[in-house]
Amino acid sequence: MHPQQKAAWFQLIVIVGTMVLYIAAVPVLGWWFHRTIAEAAAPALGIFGLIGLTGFVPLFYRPARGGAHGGEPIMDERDLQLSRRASIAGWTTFWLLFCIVGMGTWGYLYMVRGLQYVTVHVALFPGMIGAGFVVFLLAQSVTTLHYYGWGGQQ
Amino acid sequence: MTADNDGVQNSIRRLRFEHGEMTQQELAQRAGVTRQTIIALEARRYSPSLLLAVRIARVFGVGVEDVFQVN
Repeated sequence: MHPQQKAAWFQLIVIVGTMVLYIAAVPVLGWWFHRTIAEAAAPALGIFGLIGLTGFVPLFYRPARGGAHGGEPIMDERDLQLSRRASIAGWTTFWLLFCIVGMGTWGYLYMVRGLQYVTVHVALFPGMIGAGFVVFLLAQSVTTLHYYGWGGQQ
Repeated sequence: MTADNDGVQNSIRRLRFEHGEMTQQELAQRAGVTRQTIIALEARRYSPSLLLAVRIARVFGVGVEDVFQVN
């Protein structure tokens, strides 16, 4: 399996695993601390700190010291081209969702609900950055696996 | 699915076998790319850069047009 595939799989597993853990943690925290689901949803967001594990992705790009792949380049021109395409897919997906969610919410509140002034909690901004990063990584990983294949064979 | 081919044909597989049944791994190492790229080239799923085309042609000791043909 190519290092790009391994990195993409690792990112996918971390992100999907974190989401599953979050969904599981909300009712557990609510039950443990005698809170409602809605009250437990915010503190359970701490689970998303696990996304930081994606910082270990560079470990997949260590050069092979010996064996069948010894001396083989980690990334060549084709890999760079596919990597660029995956990043573009990630940014495009992020920007599309960001615009739809951001402008859609504003439009709904202004046009449908008739609100003239809307304030948002400051905690929303790091959340938006985190969510945007997750969307980028998800789209990038899926695109990478689409190009390279989802398994060991190309 | 990988990068586009742009209608470039190649004779890499034939040339490998004419050069002592050279493996994809060996060609990859001598051309300075990964084996996956050689696989993609042979399957016509990727068009190489000019630099890579020249490198591969040099490995076989032939001209670029003997390896790659554009429709």
